[in-house]
Amino acid sequence: MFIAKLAWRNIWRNKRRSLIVILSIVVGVSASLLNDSYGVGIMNQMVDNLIKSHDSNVQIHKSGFRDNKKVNDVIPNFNRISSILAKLKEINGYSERVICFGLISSAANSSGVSIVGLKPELEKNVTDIHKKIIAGRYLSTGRNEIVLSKKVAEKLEVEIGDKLVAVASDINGNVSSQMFRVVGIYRSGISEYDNIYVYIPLADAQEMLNLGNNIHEIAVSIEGYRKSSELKAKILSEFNKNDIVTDIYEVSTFQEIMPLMMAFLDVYHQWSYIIYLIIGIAVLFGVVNTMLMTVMERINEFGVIMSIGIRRGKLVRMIIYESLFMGLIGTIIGFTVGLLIYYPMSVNGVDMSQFSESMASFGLPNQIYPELNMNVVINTLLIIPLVTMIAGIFPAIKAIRLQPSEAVRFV
Amino acid sequence: MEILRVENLTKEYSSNGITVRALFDINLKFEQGEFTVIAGPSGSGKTTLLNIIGSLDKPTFGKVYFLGEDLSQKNKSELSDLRLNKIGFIFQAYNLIPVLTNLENVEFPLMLLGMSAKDRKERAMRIMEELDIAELANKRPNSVSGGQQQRVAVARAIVHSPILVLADEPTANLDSKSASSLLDLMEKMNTEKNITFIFSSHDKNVIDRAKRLILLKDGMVVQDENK
Amino acid sequence: MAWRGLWRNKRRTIITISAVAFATFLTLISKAMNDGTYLTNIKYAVDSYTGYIQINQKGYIDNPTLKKSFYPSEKLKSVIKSIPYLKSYTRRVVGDGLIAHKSNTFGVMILGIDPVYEKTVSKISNKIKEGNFINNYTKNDIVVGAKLLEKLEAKLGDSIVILVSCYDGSMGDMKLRIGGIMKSGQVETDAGIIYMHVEKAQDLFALDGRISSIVISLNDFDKISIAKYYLEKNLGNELEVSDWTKIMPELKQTMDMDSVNSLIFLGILIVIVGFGILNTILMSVTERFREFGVILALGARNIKLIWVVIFETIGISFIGLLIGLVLGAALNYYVYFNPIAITGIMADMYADLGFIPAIYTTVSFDIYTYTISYILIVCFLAMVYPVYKISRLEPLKGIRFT
Repeated sequence: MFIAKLAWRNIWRNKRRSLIVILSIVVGVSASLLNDSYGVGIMNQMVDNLIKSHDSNVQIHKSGFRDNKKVNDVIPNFNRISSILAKLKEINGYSERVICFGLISSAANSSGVSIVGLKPELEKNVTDIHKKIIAGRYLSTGRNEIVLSKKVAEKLEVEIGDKLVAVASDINGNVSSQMFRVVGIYRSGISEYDNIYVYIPLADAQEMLNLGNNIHEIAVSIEGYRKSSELKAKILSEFNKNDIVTDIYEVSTFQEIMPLMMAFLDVYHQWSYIIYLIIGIAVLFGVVNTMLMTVMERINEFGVIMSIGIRRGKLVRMIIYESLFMGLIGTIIGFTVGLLIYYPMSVNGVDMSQFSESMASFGLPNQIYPELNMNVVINTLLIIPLVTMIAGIFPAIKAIRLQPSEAVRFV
Repeated sequence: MEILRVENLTKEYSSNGITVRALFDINLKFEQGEFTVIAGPSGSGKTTLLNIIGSLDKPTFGKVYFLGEDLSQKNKSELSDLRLNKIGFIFQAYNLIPVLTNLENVEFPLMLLGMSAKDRKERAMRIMEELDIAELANKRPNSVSGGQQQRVAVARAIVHSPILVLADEPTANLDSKSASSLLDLMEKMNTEKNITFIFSSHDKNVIDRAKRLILLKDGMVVQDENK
Repeated sequence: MAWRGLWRNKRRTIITISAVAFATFLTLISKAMNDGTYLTNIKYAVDSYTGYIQINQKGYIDNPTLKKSFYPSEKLKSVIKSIPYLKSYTRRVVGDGLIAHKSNTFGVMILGIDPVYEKTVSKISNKIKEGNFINNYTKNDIVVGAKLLEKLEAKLGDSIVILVSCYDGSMGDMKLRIGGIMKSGQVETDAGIIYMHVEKAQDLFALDGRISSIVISLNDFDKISIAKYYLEKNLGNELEVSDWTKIMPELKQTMDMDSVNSLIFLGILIVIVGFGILNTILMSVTERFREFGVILALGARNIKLIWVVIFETIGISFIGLLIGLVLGAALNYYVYFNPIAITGIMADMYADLGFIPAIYTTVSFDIYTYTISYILIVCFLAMVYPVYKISRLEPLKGIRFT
């Protein structure tokens, strides 16, 4: 297209000026890319961490257990559910758990904890605490073993091999206690979880609480947290197929278990758009200013072109092409520069260990890995060119407002 | 055939509360094939008249009829189209777009008319050959002399076969030899292709060569004679 | 001459000034909001719960155990009484235990507080919804959070049993009455903390007069370091003094992290604007190369022209800076007196983290120094290239410049 060719050549009339504008766009675009990918990385890691450390994608309980974890609210007929789950091929696995509050005491101290009784061979398919063991080992088939976090171990001043007493109230309301030996110490990196979760064999928990063969919770894992809703739907449909009455159970997705986390992610997401907007405005100033300068400089020329008989629309288009092309060049270079900086960060992670307590309180590890998803790519590639197009509008309108005779005389 | 008629044309400018009258009650008629100069001292309104005739400007009072049509009834787009199809302009300086080659400059009106790349290149080259500037085709305007630039301007002004060419002080920046040669060229176009030329100039060479002389003083016609 | 140079092209200068004003405005209000909100929240946390300064047994903050409780000696009390800027102080006992009612048992943190002095140091007593706070008349009463009450399926007046592990390692238990219900807005607090009379707590944990911490409130938040220094000098080796940065390191780190993020982001913004300034100055300079060439030919030295450029840059920067500061300050003042309330689910989120659901600003001097220095640095950097160009200018080069 002739007009496009003309616009392109016009950009390079003043190389230095155009390059400075393009440079400012490069900075803006690469900053946007890095900022957004960092944000996405944080959000994904936060959620993954929570899911993989304990919560999992879907939890199945007796109705009401999620809000009020009462010892006697065991899952009715859990065996049926387990056998249904065992046949689902899309899941990673499921884990049968007993959950109760209790007190564990050592010679030195005591601590209120959430005791989780589980079967290690099932649990390994659902959470990754077994990978986060920093001393000793995970639970095995043995009995009276306990795995707790470094924080709690320090508080109780215990090490591998030491003995602890766990005290809880059983299904009849009687206080029950049992002795355990510390076999492993973990660090999940999530302050909240480290502070409260300790793990013991399922059989011991059932015995301690007099639960017989019952359990409180089945945690189900599938790849990707967005699939939690699908999983829930699938489970419910399987219940229906097998004539299981669904209202005595509650099947909760991760989102339902952590509504505040989802709200937080939402807010974070919105916030990233504001960042784009602010960067866009900053770039806008520079581009509009430059375009105004170039247009004012060529008023005379525009007058000549108008005298030849160009329609105003074409002239506007030409000017907008000019700012758009600068935007495109800047975006492409900026995107490349951003990618070049992004790749090593996405492989090695960004070290945030000086903020480790803060990170842990948000449930984040010390190494953050920025992530690119389609959303980020599209936003980064689209927003600035859009901004530059808008930037061209005002100068273009200024140009065509003139009467050709005034323009021509303007030397 | 009458192509242009101006009736009771008046143009006034106001600035800071003072009104300046550039043109007052001008009445003129122009026929096809004319080679006319509008002459007069600086500030007499020559350029203003030319601009209004060419639809680049609007009169404060009075009417302009081009090919029988009242220009005041046309909107901006229609005027653009009119210029594109029927009129060609040559200015004193800065006629050409510096980032385009001479050939591309000549092609410009054809491009606006929607001609295909192949056709317009052919047509443009042909005109440039006629005007003896074919070898300048791929050069940029600022790499050729002033006289050559004006020739390219002429080429562009006539490449789309307009009825009328308006030239505002076309020889002002040229030495007498180039000026003379430019005028030869324009005369040739006038005779061969029957293109009407209306100049505004105070160059003696131009005035001598013109077939009709309109003299303006203080915005009014004081003389209008065919030679 | 610099002034006229600026206004040669009004629109261009105005746009550049606007860009500077924009960046300044953003920098100012974001710093103000950041600092303001954190400061308010820190003060809130400090006033509500942690206290300005705590005195504990050495090592307690890192590992809070009953074992690290201590006797408050007379000497200690006299040292405390002469802390500069002291407002008040109180003693606390902190431990873990189980609370049981009917067949419901939950783990809780037990906070033994002094009914009279606690009120002078924290705002816990304000959060009572029903019933009474801890007092000296009903020492057997405890206060539980509304959420915990619900989980226990209990109501005001019910008896509950507390089971703990004592100072000497043995198990201890006590039957107590629910005398008050509190609502703090934080789920963790309302479900996981109970309050009781400090002396009862000492009995429960068999502490024999020991306490876990002394919580101190000051008159002036900014004087914490002075008070801390005084205490550190005058306390023995077995005790340690901590302020909120040590008690709530996550908060400090989150604040720091936020600061770093802002710094980077605003930096990028200012750089982008800086390019705009560069272009404007460059344009205004090259436009006048001819003029400058003539001036040089007439015998002026290049340095004079350099000053012109410097003044122009300063002109643009300062005007933009001023406008941005004024607008920013106006917004800051408004929000200072009318904090922006956060509503909806965001509000719940904030409350749960222990933050006040609102945005505050600060009107302290620092934010201005921060903003001004940041913006000016970039503006001056933008000057470098045009100044360089002028220093190399020769008369003919300028005059012949097309």
